[in-house]
Amino acid sequence: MTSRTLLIASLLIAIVWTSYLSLQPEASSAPTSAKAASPTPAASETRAQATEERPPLPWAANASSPNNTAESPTTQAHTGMSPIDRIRAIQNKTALHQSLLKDHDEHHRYPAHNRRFERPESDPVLRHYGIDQRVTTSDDDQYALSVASDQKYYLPSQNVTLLATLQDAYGKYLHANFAAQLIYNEQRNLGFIDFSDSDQDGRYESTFSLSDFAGQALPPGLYKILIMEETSALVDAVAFVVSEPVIQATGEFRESLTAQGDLRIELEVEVKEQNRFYVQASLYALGNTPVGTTQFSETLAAGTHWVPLDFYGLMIRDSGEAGPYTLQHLSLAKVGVPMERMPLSDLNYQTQSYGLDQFTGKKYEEVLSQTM
Amino acid sequence: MSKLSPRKNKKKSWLARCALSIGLALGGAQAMAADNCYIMVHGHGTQGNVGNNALTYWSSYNFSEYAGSSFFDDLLSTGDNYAIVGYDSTDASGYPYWRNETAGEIARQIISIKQGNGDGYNHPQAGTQCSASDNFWIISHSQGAQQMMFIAGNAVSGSPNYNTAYTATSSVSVSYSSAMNGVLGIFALGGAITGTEGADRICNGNWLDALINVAFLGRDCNPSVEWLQTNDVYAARTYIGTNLGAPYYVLGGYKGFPGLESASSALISGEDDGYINLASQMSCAGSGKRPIEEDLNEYKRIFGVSYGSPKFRCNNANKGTPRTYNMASVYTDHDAERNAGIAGPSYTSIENGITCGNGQNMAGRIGTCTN
Repeated sequence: MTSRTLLIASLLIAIVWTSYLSLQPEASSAPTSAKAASPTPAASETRAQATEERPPLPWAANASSPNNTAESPTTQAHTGMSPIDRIRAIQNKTALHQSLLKDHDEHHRYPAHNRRFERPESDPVLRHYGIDQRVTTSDDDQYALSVASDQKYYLPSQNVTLLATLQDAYGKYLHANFAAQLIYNEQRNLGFIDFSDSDQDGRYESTFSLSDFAGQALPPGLYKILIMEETSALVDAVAFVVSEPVIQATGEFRESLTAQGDLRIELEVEVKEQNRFYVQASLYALGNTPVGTTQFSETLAAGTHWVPLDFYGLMIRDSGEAGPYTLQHLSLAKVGVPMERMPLSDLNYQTQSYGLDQFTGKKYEEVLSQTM
Repeated sequence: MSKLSPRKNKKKSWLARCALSIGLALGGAQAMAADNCYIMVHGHGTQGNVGNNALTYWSSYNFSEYAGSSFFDDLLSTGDNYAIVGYDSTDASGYPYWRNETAGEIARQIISIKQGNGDGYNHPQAGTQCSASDNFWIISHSQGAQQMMFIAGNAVSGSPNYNTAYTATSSVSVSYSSAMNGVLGIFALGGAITGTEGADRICNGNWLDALINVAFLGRDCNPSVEWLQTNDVYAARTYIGTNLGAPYYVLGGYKGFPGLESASSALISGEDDGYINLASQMSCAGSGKRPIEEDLNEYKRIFGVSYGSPKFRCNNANKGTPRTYNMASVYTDHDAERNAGIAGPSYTSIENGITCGNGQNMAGRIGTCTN
């Protein structure tokens, strides 16, 4: 693509995106009165003038409603039938209705903190740590710029390794000229980063220490590295989070089969400062057969805590595999913006042996209906 | 293709309501006892907390081809109601999806609407305010879809941001669980679920992409745009748990904008609706700028030509978010998604797609599939 073409295309794109990022209120509005029969507004529907802020609406007084107001996920107080039962009662169901019912049955088979997955590569815990491989292609498909960092979450003591390549339309690696810049929280430029290709294989790398970047230790937060390749004029960015190491597993576990027929594994964690934390873990049967995941989130004070990791009995039964089971992957995170995940832990904690018939065979929805 | 045919008029009449009531009295299908209520969550760049902006969003247009169209004309059938959610998604305010002013405000309005309080707007269509006994569906467009993912993904106990939104300095409690309770489904139209490459270009253009930077003079990478970038660490899926409070159905558009503005698609990886990568709209696993095609598959390519078997399929098993389902891939641009400006767009058969409403635009599909 010539530079002239690039210039024209870029300006057009800029105009389109600029207009979209400022869609309203400047955007034209269809004359709704021409489309509707301009009914007389009901008194309760009267609105304020378009140029003024709307008067306080009913929800305004509810700005800080308490957390514990949740109703049952399947019931609605003001009608006899739940919404999903109304769908179930439809005689001529659409494909969407059928999909909703299937989803409902799957979703309410286990408690919402549990989720089953079929393949190890679908493990929700692992997916959070998957490399964010990014590919940018020139509009004539002549070049493809690939950039990635070796992790998405780092501790302040770790090194960051970046990989960048330029390929042609056939996938051949090309000689490239990369320039990169490290930016903190989208605002502060921290300096430049050099790439090199010491073995001349077309894969350019750069490694730097978070504890000593241009003579300074980088604080926790959200970082971006802008990367431009000069030959192709392609630009992309890698983004990652440096997490404050304020929670870690001590390596101690407790385990029990609950009276309801579920597996509870308690994980001891050490917390350095009070915060809300998010814990996610995945359970496997022998042979790397996935069972499912669980999650936990609470505010924890500084000190040690036992975190309950509950795996619903029927979810274990559905794996079709008897115990022992392995608590395989663990993710600990300090909740906030950005989400500060600690490095992925492979626990390999093995439970006692269990027979499938030791676990409950009841759907969670049935359990809920019996207790209500 | 622009919409040239006369507009349908499916608005309810008093007579139809009477007929419906009689049918019910005679023991008609119980499911008909409740009307549909579509709760509408608009996208980026609208000061939806002021005046009628949130209402007119669904009939506003950026391209004259779509003048006179309204999403509700193709959505509503007899007995259907709707409610408008309005919040401030302007660049001037710059609120990201996790803020109390965005996710928090949307959730509070959903709760109020479900309680039967109405939405506070004067609907052009008579008698279309929702009641507490309706069947509730949520329809979100563009950035609205990103916010709905954050809300639904933190409505379940054990989620990282369970019932929590953020202010500039702290967190506040918002009952996402109540907002999602009883909601039958969430529809995402052209959703920026994992961002848009357009935001990447704005935020990455400050340094070397000088042409873009000059053109965007006055447009900076404010926080609302920053959190629409396609890197994973910005994505709503990074801030939610392993389950959603309601099933989430994705409808993607793959038509460029009309006229000269169609050039925008040239700088977005894979198919797009002129503004948002299709991979992001369909919440595919992997990068939000993954170059999927309109059939939602990614192929090997040489000089722009795809070949061989798909190397990635964005089916229901390969979503980047839980409880997320393919609904449709429609030949529609980002503008026409929200104003239903294209009457009978073509579409592509997709794996796990939902076929009711095939041949209709996104509004019509939802109307057909939910009735």
